[in-house]
Amino acid sequence: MNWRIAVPALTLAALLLWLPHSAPAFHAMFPSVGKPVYLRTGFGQLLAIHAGIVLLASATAVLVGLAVAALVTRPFARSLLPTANAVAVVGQTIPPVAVLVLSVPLLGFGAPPTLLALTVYGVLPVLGQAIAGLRSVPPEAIAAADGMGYGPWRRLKDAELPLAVPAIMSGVRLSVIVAVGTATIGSTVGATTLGSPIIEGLVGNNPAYVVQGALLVAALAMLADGLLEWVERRVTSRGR
Amino acid sequence: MIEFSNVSKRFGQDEAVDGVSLSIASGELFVMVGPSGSGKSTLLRMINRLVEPDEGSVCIDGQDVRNTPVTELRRGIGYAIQSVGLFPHWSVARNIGTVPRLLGWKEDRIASRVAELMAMVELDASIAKRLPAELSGGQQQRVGVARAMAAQPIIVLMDEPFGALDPVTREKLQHAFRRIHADIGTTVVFVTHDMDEALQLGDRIAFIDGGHVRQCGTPLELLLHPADDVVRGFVGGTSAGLRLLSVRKVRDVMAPGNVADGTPSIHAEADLRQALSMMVDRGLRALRVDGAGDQVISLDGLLVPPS
Repeated sequence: MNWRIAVPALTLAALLLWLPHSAPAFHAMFPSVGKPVYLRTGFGQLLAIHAGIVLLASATAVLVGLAVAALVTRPFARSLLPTANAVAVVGQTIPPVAVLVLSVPLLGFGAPPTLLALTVYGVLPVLGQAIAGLRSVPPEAIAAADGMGYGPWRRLKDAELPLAVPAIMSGVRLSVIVAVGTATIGSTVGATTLGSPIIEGLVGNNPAYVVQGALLVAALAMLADGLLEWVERRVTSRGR
Repeated sequence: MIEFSNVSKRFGQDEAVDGVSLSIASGELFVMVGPSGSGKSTLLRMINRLVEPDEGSVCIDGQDVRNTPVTELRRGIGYAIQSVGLFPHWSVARNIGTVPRLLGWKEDRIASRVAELMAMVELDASIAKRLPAELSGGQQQRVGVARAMAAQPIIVLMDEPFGALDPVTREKLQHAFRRIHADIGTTVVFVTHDMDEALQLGDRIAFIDGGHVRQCGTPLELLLHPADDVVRGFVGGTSAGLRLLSVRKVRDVMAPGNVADGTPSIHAEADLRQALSMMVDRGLRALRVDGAGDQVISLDGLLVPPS
Protein backbone atom coordinates (compact mmCIF):
# COMPACT_ATOMS: atom_id res chain seq x y z
CA MET A 1 0.00 0.00 0.00
CA ASN A 2 1.45 3.33 -1.02
CA TRP A 3 0.20 5.91 1.48
CA ARG A 4 1.53 8.85 -0.50
CA ILE A 5 -0.89 7.92 -3.26
CA ALA A 6 -3.73 6.40 -1.25
CA VAL A 7 -4.20 9.22 1.27
CA PRO A 8 -4.53 12.11 -1.23
CA ALA A 9 -6.59 9.91 -3.60
CA LEU A 10 -9.05 9.03 -0.84
CA THR A 11 -9.13 12.64 0.36
CA LEU A 12 -9.90 13.78 -3.18
CA ALA A 13 -12.70 11.22 -3.53
CA ALA A 14 -14.15 12.11 -0.15
CA LEU A 15 -14.12 15.84 -1.01
CA LEU A 16 -15.89 15.19 -4.33
CA LEU A 17 -18.60 13.19 -2.56
CA TRP A 18 -18.98 15.50 0.40
CA LEU A 19 -18.66 19.02 -1.07
CA PRO A 20 -22.06 19.02 -2.89
CA HIS A 21 -23.66 18.27 0.49
CA SER A 22 -21.48 20.59 2.53
CA ALA A 23 -23.78 23.63 2.58
CA PRO A 24 -24.65 23.31 6.32
CA ALA A 25 -20.98 23.02 7.32
CA PHE A 26 -19.85 26.02 5.23
CA HIS A 27 -22.92 28.01 6.36
CA ALA A 28 -21.83 27.40 9.95
CA MET A 29 -18.26 28.46 9.16
CA PHE A 30 -19.15 31.56 7.12
CA PRO A 31 -22.68 32.65 8.25
CA SER A 32 -22.54 35.90 6.27
CA VAL A 33 -22.23 34.07 2.90
CA GLY A 34 -25.47 33.70 0.96
CA LYS A 35 -24.55 30.71 -1.24
CA PRO A 36 -22.12 28.56 0.78
CA VAL A 37 -21.34 25.99 -1.98
CA TYR A 38 -19.97 26.63 -5.48
CA LEU A 39 -22.54 25.32 -7.97
CA ARG A 40 -21.77 26.95 -11.34
CA THR A 41 -19.81 23.86 -12.48
CA GLY A 42 -19.66 20.48 -10.78
CA PHE A 43 -16.53 19.85 -8.70
CA GLY A 44 -15.91 16.58 -10.57
CA GLN A 45 -15.96 18.41 -13.87
CA LEU A 46 -13.66 21.16 -12.58
CA LEU A 47 -11.22 18.53 -11.36
CA ALA A 48 -11.28 16.66 -14.66
CA ILE A 49 -10.60 19.79 -16.73
CA HIS A 50 -7.91 20.95 -14.32
CA ALA A 51 -6.15 17.59 -14.36
CA GLY A 52 -6.50 17.36 -18.15
CA ILE A 53 -4.88 20.77 -18.72
CA VAL A 54 -2.04 19.90 -16.34
CA LEU A 55 -1.51 16.50 -17.94
CA LEU A 56 -1.41 17.83 -21.48
CA ALA A 57 0.82 20.79 -20.60
CA SER A 58 3.20 18.72 -18.47
CA ALA A 59 3.53 15.92 -21.01
CA THR A 60 4.45 18.45 -23.68
CA ALA A 61 6.78 20.27 -21.31
CA VAL A 62 8.62 17.08 -20.36
CA LEU A 63 9.08 16.04 -23.98
CA VAL A 64 10.28 19.48 -25.06
CA GLY A 65 12.52 19.88 -22.00
CA LEU A 66 14.15 16.48 -22.48
CA ALA A 67 14.62 16.97 -26.20
CA VAL A 68 16.25 20.38 -25.76
CA ALA A 69 18.43 19.15 -22.88
CA ALA A 70 19.56 16.14 -24.90
CA LEU A 71 20.31 18.38 -27.87
CA VAL A 72 22.38 20.99 -26.06
CA THR A 73 24.48 18.35 -24.30
CA ARG A 74 25.57 16.83 -27.65
CA PRO A 75 29.08 17.84 -28.70
CA PHE A 76 27.94 19.53 -31.93
CA ALA A 77 25.44 21.76 -30.08
CA ARG A 78 27.58 22.54 -27.05
CA SER A 79 27.62 26.23 -27.98
CA LEU A 80 23.90 26.42 -27.15
CA LEU A 81 24.38 25.02 -23.66
CA PRO A 82 25.01 28.30 -21.78
CA THR A 83 21.96 29.88 -23.41
CA ALA A 84 19.72 26.92 -22.57
CA ASN A 85 20.99 26.95 -19.00
CA ALA A 86 20.39 30.67 -18.67
CA VAL A 87 16.86 30.34 -20.05
CA ALA A 88 16.08 27.55 -17.60
CA VAL A 89 17.41 29.46 -14.61
CA VAL A 90 16.30 32.99 -15.42
CA GLY A 91 12.97 31.82 -16.85
CA GLN A 92 11.98 30.34 -13.51
CA THR A 93 12.37 33.72 -11.83
CA ILE A 94 9.56 35.11 -14.00
CA PRO A 95 6.26 34.53 -12.19
CA PRO A 96 3.84 32.20 -14.02
CA VAL A 97 1.20 34.95 -14.01
CA ALA A 98 3.39 37.03 -16.30
CA VAL A 99 3.64 34.19 -18.78
CA LEU A 100 -0.11 33.75 -18.57
CA VAL A 101 -0.80 37.44 -19.22
CA LEU A 102 1.61 37.48 -22.16
CA SER A 103 -0.11 34.54 -23.84
CA VAL A 104 -3.58 36.13 -23.77
CA PRO A 105 -2.89 38.54 -26.65
CA LEU A 106 -1.70 35.54 -28.68
CA LEU A 107 -4.49 33.11 -27.95
CA GLY A 108 -7.36 35.10 -26.46
CA PHE A 109 -9.16 34.08 -23.27
CA GLY A 110 -10.00 30.60 -22.01
CA ALA A 111 -8.08 27.33 -21.83
CA PRO A 112 -5.58 27.85 -24.72
CA PRO A 113 -3.50 30.63 -23.10
CA THR A 114 -3.47 28.67 -19.85
CA LEU A 115 -2.25 25.58 -21.68
CA LEU A 116 0.49 27.58 -23.43
CA ALA A 117 1.63 29.30 -20.24
CA LEU A 118 1.73 26.04 -18.31
CA THR A 119 3.68 24.32 -21.06
CA VAL A 120 6.25 27.09 -21.47
CA TYR A 121 6.67 27.49 -17.73
CA GLY A 122 6.74 23.72 -17.20
CA VAL A 123 9.59 23.21 -19.66
CA LEU A 124 11.99 25.24 -17.51
CA PRO A 125 12.50 23.00 -14.46
CA VAL A 126 12.63 19.89 -16.67
CA LEU A 127 15.18 21.54 -18.94
CA GLY A 128 17.36 22.78 -16.08
CA GLN A 129 17.34 19.48 -14.21
CA ALA A 130 17.81 17.36 -17.33
CA ILE A 131 20.84 19.41 -18.38
CA ALA A 132 22.31 19.09 -14.89
CA GLY A 133 21.57 15.35 -14.87
CA LEU A 134 23.03 14.69 -18.30
CA ARG A 135 26.16 16.65 -17.49
CA SER A 136 26.69 14.74 -14.25
CA VAL A 137 26.76 11.34 -15.97
CA PRO A 138 30.12 9.82 -14.94
CA PRO A 139 32.61 10.32 -17.80
CA GLU A 140 33.82 6.73 -17.27
CA ALA A 141 30.38 5.41 -18.13
CA ILE A 142 30.43 7.45 -21.33
CA ALA A 143 33.99 6.36 -22.17
CA ALA A 144 33.03 2.72 -21.56
CA ALA A 145 29.90 3.07 -23.70
CA ASP A 146 31.91 4.62 -26.54
CA GLY A 147 34.64 2.03 -26.21
CA MET A 148 32.14 -0.81 -26.43
CA GLY A 149 30.66 0.50 -29.65
CA TYR A 150 27.55 2.41 -28.65
CA GLY A 151 26.24 4.78 -31.28
CA PRO A 152 25.35 8.28 -30.09
CA TRP A 153 21.59 7.62 -29.97
CA ARG A 154 21.92 4.29 -28.20
CA ARG A 155 24.35 5.78 -25.71
CA LEU A 156 21.86 8.52 -24.88
CA LYS A 157 18.98 6.08 -24.51
CA ASP A 158 20.76 3.26 -22.64
CA ALA A 159 23.36 5.08 -20.59
CA GLU A 160 22.97 8.83 -20.30
CA LEU A 161 19.21 9.26 -19.81
CA PRO A 162 18.87 6.39 -17.31
CA LEU A 163 21.78 7.80 -15.31
CA ALA A 164 20.21 11.25 -15.37
CA VAL A 165 16.79 9.95 -14.30
CA PRO A 166 16.96 11.01 -10.64
CA ALA A 167 17.70 14.61 -11.64
CA ILE A 168 15.19 14.56 -14.50
CA MET A 169 12.44 13.20 -12.26
CA SER A 170 12.99 15.91 -9.67
CA GLY A 171 12.53 18.42 -12.48
CA VAL A 172 9.40 16.66 -13.68
CA ARG A 173 7.93 16.59 -10.18
CA LEU A 174 8.60 20.26 -9.68
CA SER A 175 7.16 21.05 -13.10
CA VAL A 176 3.94 19.13 -12.50
CA ILE A 177 3.37 20.45 -8.99
CA VAL A 178 3.87 24.03 -10.19
CA ALA A 179 1.48 23.32 -13.08
CA VAL A 180 -1.22 22.05 -10.69
CA GLY A 181 -0.95 25.29 -8.77
CA THR A 182 -0.57 27.57 -11.77
CA ALA A 183 -3.55 26.10 -13.64
CA THR A 184 -5.59 27.66 -10.83
CA ILE A 185 -4.56 31.12 -11.98
CA GLY A 186 -5.75 30.17 -15.46
CA SER A 187 -9.22 31.01 -14.26
CA THR A 188 -8.30 34.69 -14.21
CA VAL A 189 -8.13 34.53 -18.01
CA GLY A 190 -11.31 32.54 -18.35
CA ALA A 191 -10.19 28.90 -18.20
CA THR A 192 -12.54 26.68 -16.22
CA THR A 193 -10.39 24.96 -13.59
CA LEU A 194 -10.34 24.33 -9.86
CA GLY A 195 -9.24 27.96 -9.75
CA SER A 196 -12.72 29.07 -10.82
CA PRO A 197 -14.32 28.84 -7.34
CA ILE A 198 -11.19 30.41 -5.83
CA ILE A 199 -11.17 33.40 -8.19
CA GLU A 200 -14.91 33.83 -7.98
CA GLY A 201 -14.73 33.60 -4.21
CA LEU A 202 -12.00 36.23 -4.05
CA VAL A 203 -13.84 38.58 -6.38
CA GLY A 204 -17.27 38.03 -4.83
CA ASN A 205 -16.03 38.10 -1.24
CA ASN A 206 -17.04 34.46 -0.66
CA PRO A 207 -14.40 32.68 1.46
CA ALA A 208 -16.35 29.37 1.30
CA TYR A 209 -15.68 29.09 -2.46
CA VAL A 210 -12.00 29.81 -1.89
CA VAL A 211 -11.72 27.06 0.71
CA GLN A 212 -13.55 24.55 -1.50
CA GLY A 213 -11.27 25.19 -4.49
CA ALA A 214 -8.14 25.28 -2.38
CA LEU A 215 -8.90 21.95 -0.67
CA LEU A 216 -9.30 20.22 -4.04
CA VAL A 217 -6.17 21.78 -5.56
CA ALA A 218 -4.10 20.83 -2.52
CA ALA A 219 -5.32 17.23 -2.61
CA LEU A 220 -4.65 17.05 -6.34
CA ALA A 221 -1.11 18.40 -5.92
CA MET A 222 -0.33 15.85 -3.24
CA LEU A 223 -1.75 13.06 -5.37
CA ALA A 224 0.36 14.17 -8.35
CA ASP A 225 3.47 14.23 -6.16
CA GLY A 226 2.75 10.76 -4.77
CA LEU A 227 2.18 9.33 -8.24
CA LEU A 228 5.38 10.86 -9.60
CA GLU A 229 7.38 9.59 -6.67
CA TRP A 230 6.09 6.12 -7.48
CA VAL A 231 6.99 6.54 -11.15
CA GLU A 232 10.46 7.74 -10.17
CA ARG A 233 11.08 4.64 -8.08
CA ARG A 234 9.84 2.38 -10.86
CA VAL A 235 12.06 4.02 -13.46
CA THR A 236 15.22 4.03 -11.33
CA SER A 237 14.94 0.38 -10.31
CA ARG A 238 14.55 -0.80 -13.89
CA GLY A 239 17.36 -2.79 -15.44
CA ARG A 240 18.13 -4.94 -12.42
CA MET B 1 48.18 -8.74 -35.68
CA ILE B 2 48.04 -5.08 -34.70
CA GLU B 3 50.44 -2.75 -36.45
CA PHE B 4 51.20 0.87 -35.59
CA SER B 5 53.01 2.56 -38.48
CA ASN B 6 54.71 5.80 -37.61
CA VAL B 7 51.73 7.22 -35.65
CA SER B 8 51.78 10.67 -34.08
CA LYS B 9 49.19 12.57 -32.05
CA ARG B 10 49.29 16.06 -30.68
CA PHE B 11 46.93 17.49 -28.08
CA GLY B 12 47.31 21.24 -28.48
CA GLN B 13 51.02 21.96 -28.14
CA ASP B 14 51.87 18.64 -26.51
CA GLU B 15 53.22 15.78 -28.52
CA ALA B 16 51.39 12.84 -26.90
CA VAL B 17 52.65 10.25 -29.34
CA ASP B 18 55.56 10.90 -31.66
CA GLY B 19 56.26 8.63 -34.61
CA VAL B 20 55.59 5.28 -32.95
CA SER B 21 55.86 2.03 -34.86
CA LEU B 22 54.99 -1.22 -33.10
CA SER B 23 53.65 -4.56 -34.04
CA ILE B 24 51.70 -6.83 -31.75
CA ALA B 25 51.35 -10.50 -32.63
CA SER B 26 48.06 -12.39 -32.54
CA GLY B 27 47.43 -14.12 -29.23
CA GLU B 28 50.08 -12.09 -27.49
CA LEU B 29 49.67 -10.45 -24.09
CA PHE B 30 51.37 -7.19 -24.93
CA VAL B 31 52.02 -4.66 -22.19
CA MET B 32 52.65 -0.96 -22.71
CA VAL B 33 54.32 0.42 -19.63
CA GLY B 34 55.55 3.89 -18.81
CA PRO B 35 55.10 6.86 -16.51
CA SER B 36 51.87 8.91 -16.42
CA GLY B 37 51.44 11.05 -19.51
CA SER B 38 53.86 8.97 -21.55
CA GLY B 39 51.30 8.42 -24.32
CA LYS B 40 50.61 4.75 -23.62
CA SER B 41 46.85 5.17 -23.14
CA THR B 42 46.69 7.36 -26.24
CA LEU B 43 48.32 4.58 -28.23
CA LEU B 44 45.88 2.03 -26.81
CA ARG B 45 42.88 4.18 -27.71
CA MET B 46 44.04 4.48 -31.28
CA ILE B 47 43.32 0.79 -31.71
CA ASN B 48 39.57 1.24 -31.17
CA ARG B 49 39.58 4.77 -32.56
CA LEU B 50 38.70 6.56 -29.34
CA VAL B 51 41.69 8.62 -30.47
CA GLU B 52 42.49 9.21 -34.13
CA PRO B 53 46.18 9.65 -34.99
CA ASP B 54 47.24 12.91 -36.69
CA GLU B 55 49.76 10.99 -38.75
CA GLY B 56 50.43 7.37 -39.52
CA SER B 57 48.07 4.44 -39.39
CA VAL B 58 46.91 1.58 -37.18
CA CYS B 59 46.11 -1.72 -38.88
CA ILE B 60 44.46 -4.85 -37.55
CA ASP B 61 45.29 -7.91 -39.63
CA GLY B 62 46.36 -5.66 -42.48
CA GLN B 63 43.13 -3.61 -42.42
CA ASP B 64 43.42 0.08 -41.54
CA VAL B 65 41.09 0.63 -38.56
CA ARG B 66 39.68 3.67 -40.37
CA ASN B 67 38.19 1.36 -42.99
CA THR B 68 35.82 -0.29 -40.51
CA PRO B 69 32.73 1.62 -39.30
CA VAL B 70 33.59 2.81 -35.81
CA THR B 71 30.78 1.11 -33.87
CA GLU B 72 31.39 -2.19 -35.65
CA LEU B 73 35.12 -1.96 -34.95
CA ARG B 74 34.55 -1.27 -31.26
CA ARG B 75 32.03 -4.05 -30.79
CA GLY B 76 34.69 -6.46 -32.03
CA ILE B 77 37.28 -5.20 -29.54
CA GLY B 78 36.95 -5.73 -25.79
CA TYR B 79 37.67 -2.69 -23.66
CA ALA B 80 38.28 -2.47 -19.91
CA ILE B 81 39.36 0.65 -18.05
CA GLN B 82 40.68 1.47 -14.61
CA SER B 83 37.54 3.14 -13.34
CA VAL B 84 35.71 0.10 -14.71
CA GLY B 85 32.95 2.26 -16.18
CA LEU B 86 30.25 -0.23 -15.27
CA PHE B 87 26.78 1.14 -15.81
CA PRO B 88 25.63 1.89 -12.26
CA HIS B 89 21.95 1.41 -13.15
CA TRP B 90 22.42 -2.10 -14.56
CA SER B 91 22.89 -5.40 -12.75
CA VAL B 92 26.13 -7.37 -12.99
CA ALA B 93 24.59 -9.75 -15.53
CA ARG B 94 23.22 -6.95 -17.67
CA ASN B 95 26.57 -5.14 -17.60
CA ILE B 96 28.46 -8.23 -18.70
CA GLY B 97 25.98 -8.82 -21.51
CA THR B 98 26.25 -5.27 -22.87
CA VAL B 99 28.16 -5.94 -26.08
CA PRO B 100 26.39 -9.21 -26.96
CA ARG B 101 23.13 -7.27 -26.57
CA LEU B 102 24.45 -4.52 -28.87
CA LEU B 103 25.32 -7.24 -31.36
CA GLY B 104 21.77 -8.54 -31.19
CA TRP B 105 22.39 -11.93 -29.60
CA LYS B 106 19.33 -13.87 -28.43
CA GLU B 107 18.53 -13.53 -24.71
CA ASP B 108 19.19 -17.19 -23.85
CA ARG B 109 22.55 -17.11 -25.61
CA ILE B 110 23.47 -13.95 -23.68
CA ALA B 111 22.38 -15.56 -20.40
CA SER B 112 24.50 -18.65 -20.92
CA ARG B 113 27.50 -16.58 -22.03
CA VAL B 114 27.17 -14.39 -18.94
CA ALA B 115 27.09 -17.46 -16.68
CA GLU B 116 30.16 -18.84 -18.43
CA LEU B 117 32.05 -15.55 -18.04
CA MET B 118 31.16 -15.17 -14.38
CA ALA B 119 32.58 -18.64 -13.75
CA MET B 120 35.69 -17.73 -15.76
CA VAL B 121 36.47 -14.63 -13.71
CA GLU B 122 35.51 -16.47 -10.51
CA LEU B 123 32.45 -14.48 -9.61
CA ASP B 124 29.74 -16.20 -7.63
CA ALA B 125 26.57 -16.67 -9.68
CA SER B 126 24.53 -15.33 -6.76
CA ILE B 127 25.72 -11.76 -7.39
CA ALA B 128 24.37 -11.67 -10.96
CA LYS B 129 21.39 -9.53 -9.95
CA ARG B 130 23.36 -7.06 -7.84
CA LEU B 131 24.14 -3.51 -8.87
CA PRO B 132 27.81 -2.48 -9.27
CA ALA B 133 27.67 -0.26 -6.17
CA GLU B 134 26.93 -3.36 -4.09
CA LEU B 135 30.20 -5.05 -5.10
CA SER B 136 33.76 -4.76 -3.78
CA GLY B 137 36.41 -3.08 -5.95
CA GLY B 138 37.90 -6.44 -6.90
CA GLN B 139 34.50 -7.83 -7.89
CA GLN B 140 33.78 -4.74 -10.01
CA GLN B 141 37.09 -5.19 -11.81
CA ARG B 142 36.24 -8.84 -12.49
CA VAL B 143 32.91 -7.75 -13.94
CA GLY B 144 34.82 -5.24 -16.09
CA VAL B 145 37.13 -7.96 -17.38
CA ALA B 146 34.20 -10.30 -18.05
CA ARG B 147 32.36 -7.54 -19.90
CA ALA B 148 35.40 -6.86 -22.09
CA MET B 149 35.57 -10.56 -23.00
CA ALA B 150 31.83 -11.03 -23.46
CA ALA B 151 31.45 -11.09 -27.22
CA GLN B 152 34.55 -13.22 -27.77
CA PRO B 153 36.55 -10.34 -29.22
CA ILE B 154 39.72 -11.07 -31.15
CA ILE B 155 41.42 -8.20 -29.34
CA VAL B 156 40.99 -6.97 -25.77
CA LEU B 157 42.28 -3.56 -24.69
CA MET B 158 42.89 -2.99 -21.01
CA ASP B 159 43.77 0.44 -19.62
CA GLU B 160 45.18 0.02 -16.09
CA PRO B 161 42.34 -2.35 -15.25
CA PHE B 162 43.79 -3.28 -11.86
CA GLY B 163 45.22 0.14 -11.01
CA ALA B 164 42.80 1.08 -8.25
CA LEU B 165 42.99 -2.18 -6.30
CA ASP B 166 44.85 -3.08 -3.12
CA PRO B 167 48.03 -5.14 -3.73
CA VAL B 168 46.58 -8.47 -2.58
CA THR B 169 43.46 -8.22 -4.73
CA ARG B 170 45.53 -6.97 -7.64
CA GLU B 171 47.87 -9.93 -7.49
CA LYS B 172 44.93 -12.34 -7.37
CA LEU B 173 43.39 -10.73 -10.43
CA GLN B 174 46.70 -10.70 -12.29
CA HIS B 175 47.04 -14.44 -11.75
CA ALA B 176 43.43 -15.04 -12.75
CA PHE B 177 43.93 -12.91 -15.82
CA ARG B 178 47.11 -14.71 -16.91
CA ARG B 179 45.27 -18.01 -16.62
CA ILE B 180 42.29 -16.68 -18.59
CA HIS B 181 44.57 -15.36 -21.30
CA ALA B 182 46.41 -18.68 -21.54
CA ASP B 183 43.04 -20.45 -21.89
CA ILE B 184 41.43 -18.33 -24.57
CA GLY B 185 44.45 -16.97 -26.43
CA THR B 186 42.93 -13.60 -27.35
CA THR B 187 45.31 -10.80 -28.27
CA VAL B 188 45.49 -8.50 -25.25
CA VAL B 189 46.98 -5.02 -25.19
CA PHE B 190 47.48 -4.00 -21.58
CA VAL B 191 48.46 -0.56 -20.34
CA THR B 192 49.99 -0.03 -16.91
CA HIS B 193 52.41 2.27 -15.11
CA ASP B 194 53.43 -0.53 -12.74
CA MET B 195 56.64 -2.20 -13.91
CA ASP B 196 56.11 -5.24 -11.70
CA GLU B 197 52.68 -5.77 -13.21
CA ALA B 198 54.16 -5.43 -16.70
CA LEU B 199 56.89 -7.97 -15.97
CA GLN B 200 54.42 -10.30 -14.32
CA LEU B 201 51.88 -10.31 -17.14
CA GLY B 202 53.57 -9.44 -20.39
CA ASP B 203 54.69 -11.82 -23.10
CA ARG B 204 56.33 -8.72 -24.48
CA ILE B 205 56.62 -5.22 -23.08
CA ALA B 206 56.93 -1.86 -24.80
CA PHE B 207 58.45 0.77 -22.58
CA ILE B 208 56.86 4.09 -23.57
CA ASP B 209 58.19 7.45 -22.47
CA GLY B 210 57.56 10.95 -23.79
CA GLY B 211 55.53 9.63 -26.71
CA HIS B 212 58.31 7.31 -27.89
CA VAL B 213 58.92 3.59 -27.59
CA ARG B 214 62.20 3.40 -25.75
CA GLN B 215 62.41 -0.35 -25.80
CA CYS B 216 60.27 -3.27 -26.85
CA GLY B 217 61.05 -6.84 -25.85
CA THR B 218 60.40 -9.74 -23.51
CA PRO B 219 60.50 -9.10 -19.77
CA LEU B 220 63.87 -10.85 -19.61
CA GLU B 221 65.31 -8.68 -22.38
CA LEU B 222 64.22 -5.50 -20.62
CA LEU B 223 65.74 -6.68 -17.35
CA LEU B 224 69.00 -7.96 -18.77
CA HIS B 225 69.62 -5.45 -21.52
CA PRO B 226 67.83 -2.18 -20.81
CA ALA B 227 68.18 0.04 -23.88
CA ASP B 228 69.09 3.20 -21.98
CA ASP B 229 69.32 4.78 -18.57
CA VAL B 230 65.62 5.67 -18.43
CA VAL B 231 64.59 2.05 -18.92
CA ARG B 232 67.33 0.94 -16.55
CA GLY B 233 65.98 3.35 -13.97
CA PHE B 234 62.53 1.80 -14.26
CA VAL B 235 63.41 -1.88 -14.34
CA GLY B 236 66.45 -1.65 -12.10
CA GLY B 237 66.84 -0.27 -8.62
CA THR B 238 67.08 -2.26 -5.46
CA SER B 239 64.63 -4.94 -6.54
CA ALA B 240 66.23 -5.65 -9.95
CA GLY B 241 67.48 -9.06 -8.81
CA LEU B 242 64.09 -10.05 -7.43
CA ARG B 243 62.38 -8.95 -10.65
CA LEU B 244 64.78 -11.09 -12.62
CA LEU B 245 63.78 -14.05 -10.45
CA SER B 246 60.09 -13.26 -10.88
CA VAL B 247 60.17 -13.53 -14.69
CA ARG B 248 61.93 -16.91 -14.75
CA LYS B 249 60.39 -20.26 -14.03
CA VAL B 250 61.59 -23.13 -11.87
CA ARG B 251 61.49 -25.25 -15.04
CA ASP B 252 64.24 -23.09 -16.60
CA VAL B 253 66.90 -23.74 -13.95
CA MET B 254 66.00 -27.04 -12.27
CA ALA B 255 68.67 -29.70 -12.38
CA PRO B 256 69.06 -33.32 -11.29
CA GLY B 257 70.15 -33.59 -7.68
CA ASN B 258 69.57 -35.22 -4.34
CA VAL B 259 67.58 -33.85 -1.43
CA ALA B 260 66.64 -35.41 1.88
CA ASP B 261 63.39 -37.36 2.05
CA GLY B 262 60.44 -35.20 3.05
CA THR B 263 61.84 -32.03 1.46
CA PRO B 264 58.95 -29.80 0.38
CA SER B 265 58.34 -29.42 -3.35
CA ILE B 266 57.45 -26.56 -5.68
CA HIS B 267 55.63 -26.54 -9.03
CA ALA B 268 57.80 -26.40 -12.17
CA GLU B 269 55.75 -23.45 -13.48
CA ALA B 270 56.26 -21.40 -10.30
CA ASP B 271 58.61 -18.44 -10.68
CA LEU B 272 62.04 -18.31 -9.09
CA ARG B 273 61.02 -15.58 -6.72
CA GLN B 274 58.44 -17.91 -5.19
CA ALA B 275 61.14 -20.60 -4.98
CA LEU B 276 63.51 -18.24 -3.18
CA SER B 277 60.76 -17.16 -0.84
CA MET B 278 59.96 -20.78 0.00
CA MET B 279 63.62 -21.60 0.66
CA VAL B 280 64.02 -18.63 2.99
CA ASP B 281 60.74 -19.42 4.69
CA ARG B 282 61.63 -23.08 5.34
CA GLY B 283 65.36 -22.52 5.89
CA LEU B 284 66.34 -24.85 3.01
CA ARG B 285 69.03 -24.65 0.32
CA ALA B 286 67.14 -26.82 -2.13
CA LEU B 287 63.58 -27.86 -2.98
CA ARG B 288 62.11 -30.84 -4.79
CA VAL B 289 60.30 -30.04 -8.07
CA ASP B 290 56.74 -31.35 -8.31
CA GLY B 291 56.34 -34.38 -10.59
CA ALA B 292 59.75 -33.96 -12.19
CA GLY B 293 61.56 -37.11 -10.98
CA ASP B 294 64.92 -36.31 -9.40
CA GLN B 295 64.89 -32.64 -10.47
CA VAL B 296 65.59 -30.14 -7.73
CA ILE B 297 65.94 -26.38 -7.48
CA SER B 298 68.78 -25.06 -5.35
CA LEU B 299 70.02 -21.70 -4.14
CA ASP B 300 72.95 -22.01 -6.53
CA GLY B 301 70.48 -22.73 -9.32
CA LEU B 302 68.94 -19.30 -8.76
CA LEU B 303 72.27 -17.73 -9.65
CA VAL B 304 72.56 -19.52 -12.99
CA PRO B 305 72.53 -16.71 -15.57
CA PRO B 306 69.61 -16.76 -18.01
CA SER B 307 70.55 -18.17 -21.39
